[in-house]
Amino acid sequence: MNEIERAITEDELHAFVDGQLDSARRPALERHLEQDQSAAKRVAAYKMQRAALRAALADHLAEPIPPLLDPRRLMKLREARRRIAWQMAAAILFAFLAGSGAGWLVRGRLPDGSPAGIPALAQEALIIHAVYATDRGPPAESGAARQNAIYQWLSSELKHPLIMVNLTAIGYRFVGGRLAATDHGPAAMLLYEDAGGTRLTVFVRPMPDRKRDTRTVHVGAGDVDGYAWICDGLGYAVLATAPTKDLHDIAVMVRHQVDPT
Amino acid sequence: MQNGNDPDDSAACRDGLRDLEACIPALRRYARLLLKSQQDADDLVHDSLVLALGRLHTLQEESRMRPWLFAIIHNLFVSRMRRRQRQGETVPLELIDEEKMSITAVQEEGLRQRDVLRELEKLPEDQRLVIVLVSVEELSYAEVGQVLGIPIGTVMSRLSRGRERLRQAMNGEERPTLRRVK
Repeated sequence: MNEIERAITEDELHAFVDGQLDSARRPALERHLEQDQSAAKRVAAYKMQRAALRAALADHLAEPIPPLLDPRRLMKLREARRRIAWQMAAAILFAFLAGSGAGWLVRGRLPDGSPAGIPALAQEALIIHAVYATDRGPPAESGAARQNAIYQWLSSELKHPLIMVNLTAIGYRFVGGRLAATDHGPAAMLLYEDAGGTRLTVFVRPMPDRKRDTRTVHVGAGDVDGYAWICDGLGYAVLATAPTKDLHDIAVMVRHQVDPT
Repeated sequence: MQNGNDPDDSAACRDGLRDLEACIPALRRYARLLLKSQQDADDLVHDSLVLALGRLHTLQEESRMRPWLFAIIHNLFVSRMRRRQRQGETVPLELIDEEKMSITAVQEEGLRQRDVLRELEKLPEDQRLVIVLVSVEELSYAEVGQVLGIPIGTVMSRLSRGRERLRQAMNGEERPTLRRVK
């Protein structure tokens, strides 16, 4: 009896609209609406709002999930990042213990000592290569027109015009490109493949705070090998799964194409 | 509903990934409410997913994945907004792009949908988010409180004020078809 006599609250009107009302209170609420015209009008309007909002926003749910947000990919990235971070830590330690200034990581930290320069670039590139270049997904479309479109798209995403890298002279054709998220912003990953199925990654990320060009340095972790440099505010890395023949020459060729001066 | 009983960790993880994936469209939709561009919204979703994947094992059996993910994305958004505000930037909030709406807008139904979105956009953000989480994402009032970090009483008052404001705004330009709805 008490349950019926208790006045209907504003919260209960909303709970009724949202289907969150305790079923025991439903009869009392329906009686209340019969007697209170203004409450009934409000409830009807709220229900209409709810339905209209759901309908208006329903389209978003049908949109395909972009590959960058695929949780399986993200999981792989996480694992690769952890693995490569360990390998890099081991490499730093080794270079340190060996007392050698020749380790690329140590060199990458000099002359300004910041860990954000080439080491960060290399780590990102290595991770992206480990995850995506080894991923034999559906064959990507190729062809010059597509290559143009992909470079244009990536240039606009990076807000930085990218110079197209052409490696057909040494037997590598353009396979595809993708946008990658890094801790330091968006990066472009361009994939090339030779007739034997060897894959090369050209990784490019804007590094606007790096005004000074660097030398080309050797980078690598685990079974991925490559070269990296910074030029005109863009960081580059050319990577392949080791052992890849003439990788240094290929890196020099890429650098020459993107920076002819 | 939950997969917590699965003794096999990798199977549980696989199920976790599947549940997570099922929530992504709704997370993108919510992010679009928070941020103007699809790119910014997807960046926010991306970073939230990375966070969520790192914490997947901490998700209690009894708690639901959806409100948990909404809480992660919301907290990340708030912390970024605070950082941006400190830097003196403002982030314009815009619900939908007109182009998209012109496709979905079909006659009266479409007009009403467009109206409701336009009016929703004019609401203060705190009311807008409560309305969407409750009406569209179907979280319970308690879950909305957890997502936004506010007491349930505040959820109810924002919901009530927001809906009433929306109703009056819609009444101001009411069409005959609206009156028939009961």
